Amino acid sequence: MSSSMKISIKQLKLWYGDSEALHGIDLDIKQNKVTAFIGPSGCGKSTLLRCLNRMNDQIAACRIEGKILMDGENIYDPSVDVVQLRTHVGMVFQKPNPFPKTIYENIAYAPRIHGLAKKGIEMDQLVETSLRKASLWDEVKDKLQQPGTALSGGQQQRLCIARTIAVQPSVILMDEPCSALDPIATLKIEELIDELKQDYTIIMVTHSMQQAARISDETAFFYMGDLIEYSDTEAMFTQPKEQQTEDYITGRFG
Amino acid sequence: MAKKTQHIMKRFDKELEEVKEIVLSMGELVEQSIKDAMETLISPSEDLAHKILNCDKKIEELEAECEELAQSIIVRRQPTASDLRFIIAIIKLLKDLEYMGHLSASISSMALQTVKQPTEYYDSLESMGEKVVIQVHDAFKALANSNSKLAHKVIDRDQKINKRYRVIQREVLTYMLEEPHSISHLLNLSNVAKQLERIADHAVHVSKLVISYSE
Repeated sequence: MSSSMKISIKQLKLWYGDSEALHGIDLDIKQNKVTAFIGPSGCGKSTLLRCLNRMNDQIAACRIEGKILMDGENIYDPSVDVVQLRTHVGMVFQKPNPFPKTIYENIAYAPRIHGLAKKGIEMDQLVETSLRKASLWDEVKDKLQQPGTALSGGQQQRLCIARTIAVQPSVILMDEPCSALDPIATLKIEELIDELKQDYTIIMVTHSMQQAARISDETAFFYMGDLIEYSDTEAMFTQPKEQQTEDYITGRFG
Repeated sequence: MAKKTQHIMKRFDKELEEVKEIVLSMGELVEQSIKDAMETLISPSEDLAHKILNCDKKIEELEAECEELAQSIIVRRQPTASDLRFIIAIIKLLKDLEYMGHLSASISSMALQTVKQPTEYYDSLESMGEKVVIQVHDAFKALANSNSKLAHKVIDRDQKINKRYRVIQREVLTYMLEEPHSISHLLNLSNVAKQLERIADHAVHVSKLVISYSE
């Protein structure tokens, strides 16, 4: 695996009960890049995203074959500690879901559990750094003791990103992070994603092809559990190689 | 490329079709305008020259209309992949159409300044004109059917047009040496050949654009 590759998915198959949802996916994800997963509903893109921090482990009927190598190590190896894995691979969801706690506590909660910072100045610094990285510090620095849920939708989503960053992951997964936000809040998140890729490898699922075109470096198009095409985003949106990709991105599908 | 299925958004298909129709009707106007310009060369006529100028104006009007529609498609439909390449190609080839219209008008105005001479002077030019008309016709036929094979043919045939142009220049030069009193008239003929060669170059550019979105 080349050094610029962060994640290498090898022949990944996934079943929900008897139904095969992913049919042997091979995909290499580059480090410090934004990779977008696109495709119609039910194509397997969110399922694959959730495999990257083993969130599908929660689903009893879910069975997986194949490997996902992260920095060369198979995250499905029995020796892997899933809790530790999830500190390395953070996740941001479609709907902002801050804890019903203060803004400060939203950030401090996980680092405290994982022992990443001590109470007091060390924690204060971690909270500030995380909020700064998530471009939220200036907007909330005077109200850190107010509930996170009092913020606007866009701010809440940036709070969730700050919360993810606080445990120092190397990969951030985003499952339609802007679909519940207005266009301006969306642009702020997109700008943030563009900045964050300097420090993190970002993989996002999006239904907005314009969003994938705006911010991703690489795009993977899935259809019915198969990876149809994976390439440089600009090439994908100007001259896709596969007819199915062409039909999907030009709005001719179905 | 496989035959396109329709967009889910039917209006998008209609708009793309509309853009294409405007461009094709501009292509027809250009083609007719070149034929008329060549006709003026054989039998100078103020009326025909006037028709060519009107045609040039009409081409410019359609260009503005098409530009507006293309802009609206970009804003409203945010085209991608082959749709994007098609719209970019259309915006670029509108300029080719505009210049071809101007070049035809320029030929007819030169024709009016030219005193009628024995027909042998015109044979080569007439034949070049016919070939250029075919080039323009085929370039737009390629566009109408997204036929990149035909577009390649037009590009390949351009060498012959260039060769013919060089032959005409040599012929005109010989006439000039033989009949120095006709130099101003012969210069006009040489310029007509130059304009025809330029029109053919625009047909080549249109063909390249057809290839850019259809392959």
